[in-house]
Amino acid sequence: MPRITLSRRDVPRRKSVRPARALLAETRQFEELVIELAGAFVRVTSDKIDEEINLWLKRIVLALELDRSTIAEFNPADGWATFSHGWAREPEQIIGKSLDANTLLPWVKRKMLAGEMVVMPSVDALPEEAAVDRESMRRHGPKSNVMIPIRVGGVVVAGVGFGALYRERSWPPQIVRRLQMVAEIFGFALERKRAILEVLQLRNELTYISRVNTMGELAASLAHEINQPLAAIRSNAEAIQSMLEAEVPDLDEVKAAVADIVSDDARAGDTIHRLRALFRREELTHSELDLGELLREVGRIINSDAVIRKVSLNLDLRQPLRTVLADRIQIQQAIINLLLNAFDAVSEVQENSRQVTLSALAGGSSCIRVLVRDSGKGIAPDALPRIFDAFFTTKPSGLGMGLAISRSIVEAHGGRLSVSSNPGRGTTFEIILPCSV
Amino acid sequence: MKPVLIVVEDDLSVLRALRRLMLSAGFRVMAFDRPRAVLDSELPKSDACLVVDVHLPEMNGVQLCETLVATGCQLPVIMITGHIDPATRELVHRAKAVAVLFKPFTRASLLEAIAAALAAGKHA
Repeated sequence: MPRITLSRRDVPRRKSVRPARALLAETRQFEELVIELAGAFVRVTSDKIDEEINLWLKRIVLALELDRSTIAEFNPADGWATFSHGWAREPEQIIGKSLDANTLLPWVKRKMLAGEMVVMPSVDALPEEAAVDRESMRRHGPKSNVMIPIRVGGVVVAGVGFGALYRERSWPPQIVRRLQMVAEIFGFALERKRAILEVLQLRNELTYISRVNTMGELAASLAHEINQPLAAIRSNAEAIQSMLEAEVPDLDEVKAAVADIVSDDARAGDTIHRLRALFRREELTHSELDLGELLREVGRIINSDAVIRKVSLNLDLRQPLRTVLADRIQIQQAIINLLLNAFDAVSEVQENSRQVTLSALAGGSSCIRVLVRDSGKGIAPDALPRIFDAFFTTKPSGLGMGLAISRSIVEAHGGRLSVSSNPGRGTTFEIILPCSV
Repeated sequence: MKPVLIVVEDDLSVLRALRRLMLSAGFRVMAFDRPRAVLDSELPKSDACLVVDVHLPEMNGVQLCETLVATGCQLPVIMITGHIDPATRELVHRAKAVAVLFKPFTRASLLEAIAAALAAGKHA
């Protein structure tokens, strides 16, 4: 009896239960995808947000068996909408294209700006007042579509659309609710990107101000560096005048003095030339950087140098690191300067004990420490206080600018560069950089 | 005998130029590029003066003069410097020099300072 009852009940149910099960499976799968998406957007760095959004638009299209999904940003000034993100199954250039939303989709646009979504299983499902939109959709648009507003900072700035181009489909509320979550997550991500861009702009201004200060300090060094050859040139010139007044001028000495004048003139010119680069105002491009990745890149750049100079370069980057907000090229420059210095330092010791270690570790919760340690002979205590001064050098061929530049870069990033040295046991330079927010 | 000028300057080009200038003006010259070398040398007791750069390796020019005084040297001192920052001015002030010359200086101002220093040395 019970078996018959069951089978009887089963028969009429089957038709409705099967799609419900399929829907449940689809919903569950999609839910997992959205959870994965949420996790990805928690981790994504601000410079990868656009890339990440495009990637997830694609994954959603594939998961829901759609054809195209796009984000269009509204321009309140002219009523046009421009596609900022998107992915389509059939290759087409979406991003950058614009459409006149006022003319083509006035009803959809009103809905979006009012913060309401539009669920369109078929073009005919659009209401009577959306006649213009319906016509546009019929001509250019998808057969079936969901459009959800994206808010940034509480204001609707864009809409995300998920569309099937060639078939009508139903949009079960479970799926639509999750698409709304996706739109919210995109909104948060875009808001974060905008906040970071504002911070960066502010930071660029601050960096310029701090560089101007550094230049002030450099100016004192510059005065000295120019005064030295000027003093020598003047003394030589006036010595030549006296020498030529002698009854029997020492022409060899005159020649030597003239040669010195020429070389001192070149020296002064060289100083100006070197400094010109520093005085240029260059826009820094800050982005969130993975320091571990950056240091590995530095390691690759400088490795051949290490090999040629028979230095064993060790990278110790075992700790996972938080990101820093910095100009990639400048930070690389600062670290490369320190490494080249370290290579010079170990050149004084035997080949088999030339060790340079580049390591990075968390310095508390809010900063990262980058260490450049060498096994050289160390820096004499009396030279130590001056090593960051511009033009100070202990090397016969050094310009004395490397450490000064490194320090000014690190300080422009809100960090600190310090040194500790044990004569006979090597030197360690330490960069402390603040983590990005 | 011609007076002796003891020049201490770590910038070799400046040192050579000063030596030429002083020789051409008729002085005898002892030229040093490091303070330690001055301390290790036998310096004349009189009819001589020191021309010392402020920023030197090992010890600065003022410390060198103080060390020389501590070892009994009474020669007058002219300080020379290419730095114009307040810290250097303060340091130079400590040196009790007969004259301070800021680079680049003229032959005339150098000879004037030397004359004053040699005169001060005679009175001492």
